[in-house]
Amino acid sequence: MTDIDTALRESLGRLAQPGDPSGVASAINAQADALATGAAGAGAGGAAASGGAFAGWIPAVVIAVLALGAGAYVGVQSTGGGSSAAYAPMTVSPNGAIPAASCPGGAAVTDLDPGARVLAVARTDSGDYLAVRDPAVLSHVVWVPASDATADPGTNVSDLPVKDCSEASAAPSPSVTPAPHHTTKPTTKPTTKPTTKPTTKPTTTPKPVDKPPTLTVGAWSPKIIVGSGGYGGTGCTQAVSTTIKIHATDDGTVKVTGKVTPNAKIVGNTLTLVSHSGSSWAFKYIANSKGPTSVPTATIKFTAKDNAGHLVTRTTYVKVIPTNMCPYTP
Amino acid sequence: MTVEVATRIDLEAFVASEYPRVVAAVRLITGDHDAAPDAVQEALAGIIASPPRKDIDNLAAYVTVVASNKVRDVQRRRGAESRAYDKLPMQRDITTDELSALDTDVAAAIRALPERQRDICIHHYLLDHSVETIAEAMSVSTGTVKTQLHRARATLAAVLTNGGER
Repeated sequence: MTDIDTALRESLGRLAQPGDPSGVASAINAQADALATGAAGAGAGGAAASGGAFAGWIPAVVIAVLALGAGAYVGVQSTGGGSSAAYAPMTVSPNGAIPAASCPGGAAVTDLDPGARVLAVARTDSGDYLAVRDPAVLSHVVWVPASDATADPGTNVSDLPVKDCSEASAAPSPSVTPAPHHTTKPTTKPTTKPTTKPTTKPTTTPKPVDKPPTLTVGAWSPKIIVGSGGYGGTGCTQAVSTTIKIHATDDGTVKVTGKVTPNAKIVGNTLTLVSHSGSSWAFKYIANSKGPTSVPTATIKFTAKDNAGHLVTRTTYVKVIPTNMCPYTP
Repeated sequence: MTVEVATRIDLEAFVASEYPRVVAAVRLITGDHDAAPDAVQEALAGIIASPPRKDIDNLAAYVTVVASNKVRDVQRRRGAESRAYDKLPMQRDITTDELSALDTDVAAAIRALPERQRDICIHHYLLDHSVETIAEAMSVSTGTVKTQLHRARATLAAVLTNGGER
């Protein structure tokens, strides 16, 4: 019966028509931005609401494409209050991680990955610094030197609004407030209205709001490894393990954990925390691929949890070559 | 107690690693070559703009389910499902020369499977998702996945065993 499974996998592999990933990430970011700000007129009802918004955002996508065609990809979107906010897609310099600060010229609070795609939402008056949405936590705005990011062709950075540190932090974000989880709903409705109003105001000072942690998967390689055993075979030049570096910060304490999602064709997943210092964690991943017909992808999810219970997750991927496919060239 | 969960997507990594296969899966599940990429992109945009209230263990599985449902909803509204399937598997980019008679038979057999069995088959055999992952993504029990997979496998095995004698 194993032959049946193999034959089915091979046949479906031949029948499969993969999607072209070119330019897809930028398009998705633009759609997400439109959804989050309501520019498309579609509610951000969540992905699970199947089909409901399928046609709803199409006008916004068409608008974005037209803007690209006209060579002026600085989107303008209504913020609901009559004002407008411009944004510009950019690529961070590929030459090393770029320190990003909470204010122009300030101390770095996080690093942007080399070559990361970001959305600029404001600039300083001089144009020396740009406010960009933190790819790790899209609700955060961080400042980077303008010289460390390259605008997409047709983008005019000078069209971005001039803002200062506090104004930019309030820029509309494509990331909505994290949805509450594990919240219990009241099971019964109150049957009577309160008959008396409170006569005194609360005297206690509200506790400061705890911010969720930030979690970034840093630049790491290799993203394809060889299975650590199994079917035999020689000739692969790829490593048998990979070390994934994580950066996490919080206004309190934060802990990072990693988890490998089961894949039917990968066995013996081992994800080990090998180092932790300050805001940096490093996890080593080793696996064995069942093979023998394809190179499966392992899904690895990292979770940062702070002492207030906020959770932030990031997912990344590693391909595991079955050793019987060696030598293998991606 | 309220615990806030924020699911952040490493979008560039997902698009580079998983997007092509997820689109392929949605195309096979729905039979709609053209709508699949749009639906997958919309599903991802929706997750970024409004993260789901539950934690997602396997994003590829989740997006495949959501995107397939989106395409099917549109198909049902248009009554186009049967027309889309009439085009499988000889869509663009694949010629009959590249497919064996067996592949054509498998495509027809997949097409003839009940909807849920077809979904589970594509998840398992094309995307290599485990029973547990499929169950979570489709919001069904692992027992349901095992049962449906067993039935689908028996049907497809008959096709593979008999070759072109369907």
